[in-house]
Amino acid sequence: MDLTFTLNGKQVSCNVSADTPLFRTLMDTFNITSIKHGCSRGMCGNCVILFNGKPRLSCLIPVFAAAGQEIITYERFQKTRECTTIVRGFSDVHVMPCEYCAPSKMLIAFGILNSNPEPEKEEILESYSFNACSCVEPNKLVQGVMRAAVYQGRRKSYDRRK
Amino acid sequence: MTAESRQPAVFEPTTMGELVELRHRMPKATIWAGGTGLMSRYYPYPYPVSREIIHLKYVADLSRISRTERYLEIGAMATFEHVLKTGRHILPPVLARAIATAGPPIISSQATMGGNLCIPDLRLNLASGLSLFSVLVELRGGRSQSIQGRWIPFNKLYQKEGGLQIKETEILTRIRISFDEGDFQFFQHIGFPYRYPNDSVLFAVFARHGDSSVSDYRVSITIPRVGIFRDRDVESAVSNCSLPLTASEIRLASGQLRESLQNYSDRITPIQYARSVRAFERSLSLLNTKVLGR
Repeated sequence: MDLTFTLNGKQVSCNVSADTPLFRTLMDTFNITSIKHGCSRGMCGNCVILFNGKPRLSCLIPVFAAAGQEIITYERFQKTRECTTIVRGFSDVHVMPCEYCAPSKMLIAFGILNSNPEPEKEEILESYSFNACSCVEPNKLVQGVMRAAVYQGRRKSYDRRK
Repeated sequence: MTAESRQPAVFEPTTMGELVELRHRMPKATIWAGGTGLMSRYYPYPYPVSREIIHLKYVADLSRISRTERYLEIGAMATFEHVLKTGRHILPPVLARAIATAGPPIISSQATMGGNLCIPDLRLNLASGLSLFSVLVELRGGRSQSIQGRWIPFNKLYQKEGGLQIKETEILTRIRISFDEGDFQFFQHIGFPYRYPNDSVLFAVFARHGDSSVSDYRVSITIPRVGIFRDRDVESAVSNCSLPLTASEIRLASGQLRESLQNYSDRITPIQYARSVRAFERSLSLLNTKVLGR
């Protein structure tokens, strides 16, 4: 199956079997390394991408569903201001996710802050509940996201003033 | 020997007519909605996908949510996130809770109502919540020139053994939930049904009560790999009891539940048995707490 989609701001094409999971195509065809192959069925939460701007598990998306859509992986996301805000928030409270899960944790944080600029503790814990890596203590993670929310609020109000 | 190399063909219908026609022509095709089916398999890839895949995303009618004075109608492709956002104030609380606990936001923005109900061998949160209410589901089949739709009661969607009861050429298109107001509604999700279906239990209660007695009590226990249990004897053991329930009434009702579950002891694991009984007892004590706290 020939398909075209936008990957990290560039239009790309590939020829793969329609039943291939998206994470497999991104890893094998486009050499994306931030996605990790864990369970392949939505349980480990280490293959998060931004699919049309929203965090999604790439193992639960077959490649045919990506045709014409916009996909952003951590490779591109880490160069954005939103990522800087999250990293700053995490650093403030010494949250340092391991290399394996950091991309997914960052993208999930982005999803949380995007849907609610002032997230509650329960909401944050719920969002991370399926992320199986336990390298960060959950309460620290909550503090990190809340801190990032503060920075995001400041940045937005600064942008508005400008 | 070589494996078959032909790639599956993907069909993306945009209207109900096209969808029904495709389903009629290819009854063995894999239906792709939100990915719940993948989560339910232990070894999902490579999975035995048929040679045809029908992708439902572009059938707009399937994502529609509408309401009348008497009922709420939800398209099978409506995602949990959409249903919760749209129907937050009109969904019965037990159903809203069942949907909200089906998965974290990243899953609920993708998982669909129909997908949750139509996994052949797994009963999940939504089925548990819906089994308490007067619910009809619409199945459509036939040819595009003569689409045949039929509404069936929700409990007829599954066989007694727990399997899905839809003809190969039919597809679930809408779910109609009648409004029913209860004074006490409770949903508890114990375990993780996708990951550990043999340990998990989904428990839902709907009750109406006055100041002094329970007038209507419904309880549903869902064992993911087995099915949904609604036992009239257990329900009648609580209905018409005066409030608050006494310890002996709770013991009696709990004993009734234990007896009913014993009939399925070959299919229910000991932990599911224990969890069901504990959830039931807890729900009764929460009912008491609510009444006493008035």
